[in-house]
Amino acid sequence: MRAAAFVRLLLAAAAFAAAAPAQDPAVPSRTFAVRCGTLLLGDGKAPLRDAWLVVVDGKVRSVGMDAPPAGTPVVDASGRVVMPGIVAADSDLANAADSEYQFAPDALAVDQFDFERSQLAALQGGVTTAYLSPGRARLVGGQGAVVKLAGSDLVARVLDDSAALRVNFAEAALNAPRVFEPTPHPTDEDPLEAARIQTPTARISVLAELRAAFAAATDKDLRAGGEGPAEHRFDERPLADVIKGALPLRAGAFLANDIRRALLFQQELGVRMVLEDPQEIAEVIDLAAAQKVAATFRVPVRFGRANPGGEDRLDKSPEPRADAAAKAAAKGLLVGLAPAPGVPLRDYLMAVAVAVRHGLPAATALRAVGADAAAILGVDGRVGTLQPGKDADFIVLSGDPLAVGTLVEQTWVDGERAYARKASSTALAIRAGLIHDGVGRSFRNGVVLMQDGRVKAVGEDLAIPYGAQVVDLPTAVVTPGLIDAFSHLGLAGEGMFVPPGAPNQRVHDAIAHDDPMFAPALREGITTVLVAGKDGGPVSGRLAAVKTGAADHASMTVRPIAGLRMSHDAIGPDAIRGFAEQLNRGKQYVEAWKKHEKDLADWQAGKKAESQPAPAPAPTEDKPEAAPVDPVSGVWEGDLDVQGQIQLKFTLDLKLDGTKVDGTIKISFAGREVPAQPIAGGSFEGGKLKIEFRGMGGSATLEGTIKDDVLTSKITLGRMGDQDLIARRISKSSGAPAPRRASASKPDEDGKPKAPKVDEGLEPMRAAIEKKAALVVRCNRGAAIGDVVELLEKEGIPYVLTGVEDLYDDAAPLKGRKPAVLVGPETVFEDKGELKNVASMLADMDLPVLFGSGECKNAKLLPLHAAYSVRYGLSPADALAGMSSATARAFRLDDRVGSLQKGKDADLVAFSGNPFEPQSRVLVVVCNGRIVVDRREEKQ
Amino acid sequence: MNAMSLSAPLLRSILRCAVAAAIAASPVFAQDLLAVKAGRILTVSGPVVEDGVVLIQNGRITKIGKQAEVEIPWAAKVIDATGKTVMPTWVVAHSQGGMRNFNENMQNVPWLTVGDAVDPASPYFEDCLRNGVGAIHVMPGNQTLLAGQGMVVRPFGRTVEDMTIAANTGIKMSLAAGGSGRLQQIRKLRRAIADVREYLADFDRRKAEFDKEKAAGAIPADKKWTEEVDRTKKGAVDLVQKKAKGWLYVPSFAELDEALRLAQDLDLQVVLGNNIDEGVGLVKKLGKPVVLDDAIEYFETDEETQKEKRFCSAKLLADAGVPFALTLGQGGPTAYPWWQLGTCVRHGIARDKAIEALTMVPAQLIGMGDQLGSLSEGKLGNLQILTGDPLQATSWVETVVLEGQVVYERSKDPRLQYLFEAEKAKASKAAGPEKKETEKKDGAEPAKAEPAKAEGGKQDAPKSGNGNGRGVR
Amino acid sequence: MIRSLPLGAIALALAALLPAQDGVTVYRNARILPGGAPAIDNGVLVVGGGKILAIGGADTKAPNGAAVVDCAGKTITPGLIDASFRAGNTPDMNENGDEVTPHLRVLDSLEPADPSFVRARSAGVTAVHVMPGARSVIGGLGVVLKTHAKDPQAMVVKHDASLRIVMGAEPSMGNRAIRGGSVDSIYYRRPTTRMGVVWAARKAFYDAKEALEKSADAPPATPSPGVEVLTRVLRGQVTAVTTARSEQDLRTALRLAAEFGYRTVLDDAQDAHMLVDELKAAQTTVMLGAPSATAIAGSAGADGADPRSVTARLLADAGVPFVITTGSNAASLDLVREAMFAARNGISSARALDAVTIEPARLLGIDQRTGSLQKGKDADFVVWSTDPLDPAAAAESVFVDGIAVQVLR
Repeated sequence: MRAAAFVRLLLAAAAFAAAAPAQDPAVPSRTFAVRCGTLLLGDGKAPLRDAWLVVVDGKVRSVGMDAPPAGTPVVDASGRVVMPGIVAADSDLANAADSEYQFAPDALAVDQFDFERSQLAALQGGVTTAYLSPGRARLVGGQGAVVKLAGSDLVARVLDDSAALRVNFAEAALNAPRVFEPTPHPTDEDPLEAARIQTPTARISVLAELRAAFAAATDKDLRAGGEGPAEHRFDERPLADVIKGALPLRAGAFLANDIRRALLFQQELGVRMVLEDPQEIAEVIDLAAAQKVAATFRVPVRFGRANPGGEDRLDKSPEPRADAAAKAAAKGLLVGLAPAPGVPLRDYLMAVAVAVRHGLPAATALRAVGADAAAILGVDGRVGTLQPGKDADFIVLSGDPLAVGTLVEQTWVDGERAYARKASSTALAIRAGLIHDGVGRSFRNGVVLMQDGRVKAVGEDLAIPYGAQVVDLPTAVVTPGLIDAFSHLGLAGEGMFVPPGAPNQRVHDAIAHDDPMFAPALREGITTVLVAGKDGGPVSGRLAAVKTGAADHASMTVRPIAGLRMSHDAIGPDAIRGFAEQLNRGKQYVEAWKKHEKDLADWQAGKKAESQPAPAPAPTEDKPEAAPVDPVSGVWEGDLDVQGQIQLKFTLDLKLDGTKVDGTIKISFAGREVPAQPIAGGSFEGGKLKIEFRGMGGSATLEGTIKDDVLTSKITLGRMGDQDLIARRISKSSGAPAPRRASASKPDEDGKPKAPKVDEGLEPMRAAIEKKAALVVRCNRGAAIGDVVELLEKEGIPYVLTGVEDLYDDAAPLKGRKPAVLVGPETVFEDKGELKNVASMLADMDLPVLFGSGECKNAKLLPLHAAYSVRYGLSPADALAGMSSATARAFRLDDRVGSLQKGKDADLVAFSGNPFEPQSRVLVVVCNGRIVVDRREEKQ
Repeated sequence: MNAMSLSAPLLRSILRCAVAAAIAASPVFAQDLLAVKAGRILTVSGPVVEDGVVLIQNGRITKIGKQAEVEIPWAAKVIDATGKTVMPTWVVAHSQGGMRNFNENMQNVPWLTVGDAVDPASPYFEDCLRNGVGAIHVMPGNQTLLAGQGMVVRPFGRTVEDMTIAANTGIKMSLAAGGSGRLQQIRKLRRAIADVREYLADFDRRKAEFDKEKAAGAIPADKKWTEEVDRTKKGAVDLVQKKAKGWLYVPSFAELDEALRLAQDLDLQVVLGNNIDEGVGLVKKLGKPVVLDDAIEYFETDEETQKEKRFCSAKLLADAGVPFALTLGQGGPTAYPWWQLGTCVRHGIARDKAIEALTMVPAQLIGMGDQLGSLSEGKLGNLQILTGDPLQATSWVETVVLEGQVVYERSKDPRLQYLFEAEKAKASKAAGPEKKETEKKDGAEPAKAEPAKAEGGKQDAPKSGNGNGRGVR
Repeated sequence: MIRSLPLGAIALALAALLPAQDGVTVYRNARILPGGAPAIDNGVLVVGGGKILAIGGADTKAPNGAAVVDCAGKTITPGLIDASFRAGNTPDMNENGDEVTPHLRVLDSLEPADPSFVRARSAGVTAVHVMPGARSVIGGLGVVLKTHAKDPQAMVVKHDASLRIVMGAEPSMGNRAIRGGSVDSIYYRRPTTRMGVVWAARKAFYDAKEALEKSADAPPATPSPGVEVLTRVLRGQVTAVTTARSEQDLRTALRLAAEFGYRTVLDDAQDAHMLVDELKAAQTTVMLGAPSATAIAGSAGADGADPRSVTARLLADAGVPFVITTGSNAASLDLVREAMFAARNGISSARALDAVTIEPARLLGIDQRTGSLQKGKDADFVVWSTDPLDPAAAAESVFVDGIAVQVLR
């Protein structure tokens, strides 16, 4: 016994360790307290707020407002609803088979209940105690039991193995199988009999058979009954117990007339009776009330399933009455509730809610799965309510028990946690006082529903779906995750300069999703940044759009190429030609690809058509040059492990040319592909190889010796210092040097058209021309602005202007066009003693204003820059757009970010107040559907 | 001679001939004068005559009046029905009685005629006489499409020819869904009629061409157009040409729509089943009298309340102001005229209206308004003598006279003897002497003498048919 | 008009008879056919508290303040009683498990909402005798019910009014004995022949008789209920009702009764006309099921019977008591129409009416409560539009225990 208890203890502890959410202290002690936001005692009385439930040794010690002694382990259910574990007044959990005989009083439902099987669905539904019904299709089906649905001590789990004797007045009792008991050796005395029909086969004999059975089972001479058929050779004790009042009857009856006869029988015997699912009770309610019977109802709705008979308009099978329970309760009958057969117990409370919808008072409904249900089952001494001394069976709910989305977060049986919902972020719901969706609509007391990283719905009083994690921010103001239209975040860090941008730089590859630099910006609500290298020259480099709060690199990238930074300020007749030239190169490149795609399409079409195998592969012009036999040329691979933290993979593709070494080097880490880049220079003399190359944001060198295909070298990597690298030559043939190599496409055997070479340098322009990105053109002088706008509008290429000083005075160069303009960080400055607010001036010209910090670690200040601009006259709406929707639209990112709309990325910021109030703080930031910042608890 | 091959304008006169023929066929009554002295004469068309007398000569009524005023010719045979009720025999406007199988398995068989199926020996006709029915319009059954010709018969005679009052009285059509369901039935009927029209159009086209070529001289002038309308189509052709009436059976309100549609270009007589409460308005649209099924009382269960409601189709029509003819069933209570009329009155239809619905109205509907349906001078001498009021269950038909000929006497009805005189039941199987005795008991000598003397005679064949041979089943 | 003191006193006295809340109604100027008594033209019927307070000629005194209903031109009869009534759905009334189940109560299977009750009472039937289905040899105990109530218990006039025995083919219909093949089949049920039917009945009564003789000295602790019921029949405490149609079955029924010395009523006795004398001798009451079914041509003879229209008259003439019922005949009409057919077939209309009112009441032993219009009896009565035996007659108002269950117009 003791041992057992101890074992149980350990099990419990283990269970907690497994199941307990992190913030919630596991409770390995036999005494603990539950801090309840709301506590329902199950007696239908008004709930207690912020109450304490103290549990000792699996029993309720006390309930009330006063806190437990210090040091008591606490289960935190504040902001949650705690109520007694549901007592299922009826269930098919035993799925007990029907006896082949009409009379099987000695059949025990408990015998077929599988204790080992986990009752997960039931526990998810908060059901801790259940009545197990025996088979329901016989006149006397057997005895039901009451068991706990969790616990390691199987014996202790049985509250009552003989809770009621089930008798059947319904249709189902009338067609028992015919029993065929052939005699092994038929004789004249003992002939071969035909299969025996079992009575009753008609309603006329139901009562008679029952009377007979009970008469036979007792000395009491009941009213005229019938002599039982031969198979009445069973243990008659249960029937006697019923007569003695030791065992209640469960009477299955659906139709009014059957209920009537059940009640008549109850009168005759004068015993306790529970009517099982008497759907038509309304018609005989007075009789039932007079006889003080109890009743259990199956709420006759099967959610999300075809309901029996529903498909057939002419179906004559009797209609269940959803309001039966209400009618019965109204007349003072003790009522128990259970979901319809086939409904998973997970949805138990929803079924109860349906009963309420049909007129059952909520309080009564909760009693019908608590106190009353327990009373009906005769186990109210143990379960059903949370009074001191009773079993500590309780459940922790995410909200109002009868609300559609409410779910059971924890289920406790005998003071042990039997189930705890995994904090799965399948769905996230944020309730806020005010929601701006970034495209002009706002919702008071709205809800943002998010799932799988996307926004599912935005609106006012949306129902919270089952299983959703709910964050309540009644006073908060929610906006879309903010976008920094221009920053260097992720490209440089402390002590490192921001590299100059180049069109062929695959910026997004160079950024680590967990770059510590992101954190500060993220904390201020900036979830997306457009990242570029430093400006320089007419074409400076790509802009990549990345998330600051992504879980991994894949989900970090919004667009590898969101834009290309250029500048143009020359004026004069043909000044724009140079700029146009850039575009033309891009256009040719695009054409080449267009053509290729067409050829490819044709080829594929043709390939489909042709039935013979393709002819021998045509020789290709740039086939790999014959493998040289020098010791260097070829592809080398080596792994490098930096302090067991960073795993780098080196791939050198070298070509020996006299003593000069040319080629490319590729350093990939964390399995991430990076483009091979040409080495700055290299030499090979006397078996010594020396290579210089750029990498790791600095210059690096490699020195080593080659001995039959093995390179033993020391490598100097920027701030990582010196490392030893051992590489092996995996092929003696070197590929083409980068960047060409990247695009060198071997022609396929069967004449598949070759793709043009991928020119990383032109890819950004291509993206822009294909309207997948925007050109960010810096130009200040009016004429230049005019030229640029003219040209780009003509070419129909998305673009954003920046600089644009001349526009402040005169918007004429735009000729009425409305290009987006990138501003910031400074938007307000003094001019001849008066303050000019560039942002608002542009906004007043109806130009979309985009805010960019142009910063690295100070990108986090972007919202304040905007606020400052608002302070001096920019409309908050434009300001918000400038950090969300407008920016997204300008850079063609609006399919993913910039607004809170169905299908967009789930990025949002919740501010403690108006986002442009300097004093309001960020409470919560969600990025890609994850809560990445939660500053609610922070004291300011 | 085959009436079927004759064209419709002549039809009416042919009916006449048929009647004439029928009468001529019984020369034995040619000179006969029959006088019926009645306590009460319900002429139906005219006023009630108390203590009246009806004179019938050559099978036609020549005089109706008070006994005091009418002088009974010395040569007249007199039936003394003093204290009894005399009224016209009933007319059944639509019946399937008297045939062995009245539903041809093939649905589209317009060339058939019931004349080939009516069985003079059928107990049905026996019952008709017992119930005072004098004329029955026999038609093919209701499980059909285009079922062929019906005929009007008297329930008396050894052969169909003897019984015939009128042949080729119209084509039976039905909307009663056989297995295939209403939709298919309606579709089939439309198709069947469309086919006939096509055939007809084609026939006329060819004839027109013939005439044209003849006119053009391409065909010698003496050559005549010989082609006849296909005999198997004749009936249907007459139907679509409105030369023949279509007797359309409409089982319930649900088919009334289609009935209306058909009525637009056919000469239709609708025979209505019951369960029409939802469709009375449509019946009214027909703008014609309708014939009712024999089952005029029916129950309907309300979908929601599951409460039963009792309807009477006759009453529904009466309320809607639609004239209707009642019919009689074969066996069961609806076989009794008094039951049918009683049901009507029970549901609030005026007594006279009810009686007309089984006399005048049906007579008109079968095109014999001037021959049958009431006692008035010039009409056929069909009358029945009842022990009491025709609407009383306790009244019995004593005697039936058809065209001046006594064709039924209750006192000689072996079937009734079998059912009502238990001690004689076994004996009556052997017939013979017992019968004579009952005759002796009877009062009216002359009325008796006639059948007696007729024993063995060739004219008596029908009577013997009415007698022992068929008496016992 | 009631002014003088003594009459007023009477009125008071009458009023005293009534439950306070219950009003008194007077039906005047009707032709009253009281049942078992001569007709009263221009009669008066006084009803209150669900009972008949007074009945008589125009001079019958009615209490002050009573509601008066003018029934000029109408006819009032007692509520009709159907002594053999088919109610409810037969599957519920036929126990297939056993062919001898004397202890079963048809009451246990009755559904008060059954449409058959509605039909019956709307046709003027206020009380019915229902028996178990005819698929068993001894089906069980019948019950007499009023045709109006929500709860069968409340409808009951008399429990255990009869024990149903069935002769003839019905109990053996479809049954067959094991002849090779699978023995586990649905139709293997006794009996399979007329012999088998009779044997089953005889065996049952034989056992009962034995039990009776044994119990004479030492009654068993718990008498087997089936047997117990049969012994009550043998003691004459319960009437047996034997359903027998053909001559042969009728004779068998009488023979069985004589053999075990119980009295039986013959139900649906279609061939009764063939053994009038035997019936007279046996003092048996005959239930005529649906005389209308005897169509003039062809006969509705079931189970080999050969019904005749003359039957009712013969029985009447011979003085054999008989009642008219709708019986087990599916083609039966409303009860009053069946009486009408009987009248048509040769019995007086008074006799015909008695055969559906007072006679069945006597037969079922409920004539103290209903069956005729007499002071003190239940107010079960019908107001007909005209003479009830007129085919045009409609039951305009029907009352059960003074409650109107049907009111036309």
